[in-house]
Amino acid sequence: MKVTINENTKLQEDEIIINCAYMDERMRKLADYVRQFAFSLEGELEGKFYQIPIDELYYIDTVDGKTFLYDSEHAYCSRQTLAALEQKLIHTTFLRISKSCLMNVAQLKCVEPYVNHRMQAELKNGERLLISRNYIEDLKEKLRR
Amino acid sequence: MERIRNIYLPSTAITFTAVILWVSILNLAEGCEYQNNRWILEVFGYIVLMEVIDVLICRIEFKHYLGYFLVEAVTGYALLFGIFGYFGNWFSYTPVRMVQITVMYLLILAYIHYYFYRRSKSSADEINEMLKESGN
Repeated sequence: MKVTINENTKLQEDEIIINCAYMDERMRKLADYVRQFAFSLEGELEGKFYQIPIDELYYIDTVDGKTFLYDSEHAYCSRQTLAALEQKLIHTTFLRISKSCLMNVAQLKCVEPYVNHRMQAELKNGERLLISRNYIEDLKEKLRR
Repeated sequence: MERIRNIYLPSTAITFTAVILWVSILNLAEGCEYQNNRWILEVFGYIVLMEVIDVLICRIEFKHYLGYFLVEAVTGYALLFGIFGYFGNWFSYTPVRMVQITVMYLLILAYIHYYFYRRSKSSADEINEMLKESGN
């Protein structure tokens, strides 16, 4: 596959064009991956609002009815519900892994068996999350795609 | 439903078969060929109750697998010797019999946990392999 990058300081918006013979699963995966670079979520931290690119996020969870977005250093508060974010991120690398958590599969390092037929996911930043048994097949499906 | 099919039915079947086989062999070895049907149903009731207890224990957040195993083992053991064994007249409380039952109980419980751990490990290995292939 040829990769061509044209730098032009006069461009107002970055654009990526994929030329392919046909759109197979690999190309669709690549397009989804590229798309999420332009995708960001709004999060609040200490009274300020930030736009966080989703590829920088490790996971999103809900604690006491509040939704939090986690990157490598901060936990941002989101005004959206986990269900709304799940719908929004359906074509990205995010996947629901329990009732209260969405994980960025692109940040997943490995998994290991855990108590009660669940799995423990280790992320690239060393954090660990629990994958409920009901979502293990979904994770496999996401990785197959 | 999937949880019942994948977890509770296999563990009930394994435990029930193992208990009936073990006790039948033990009874035959001791010259007793009669087996009480009511006792078989009581054993089934004990196993179902253990499955319900497992559902409740699973709600506790254990840090290590060993903690989960020990809590389940002690709860099941207390039920076996304290309630079912005593009120159901399952066995005599002699040292030899208690050692036999304890060994049987621990072996079956350990096998059930090992069986599900291996299944879970195999699933985790599959995911890790896919992660490696996708370059994560």
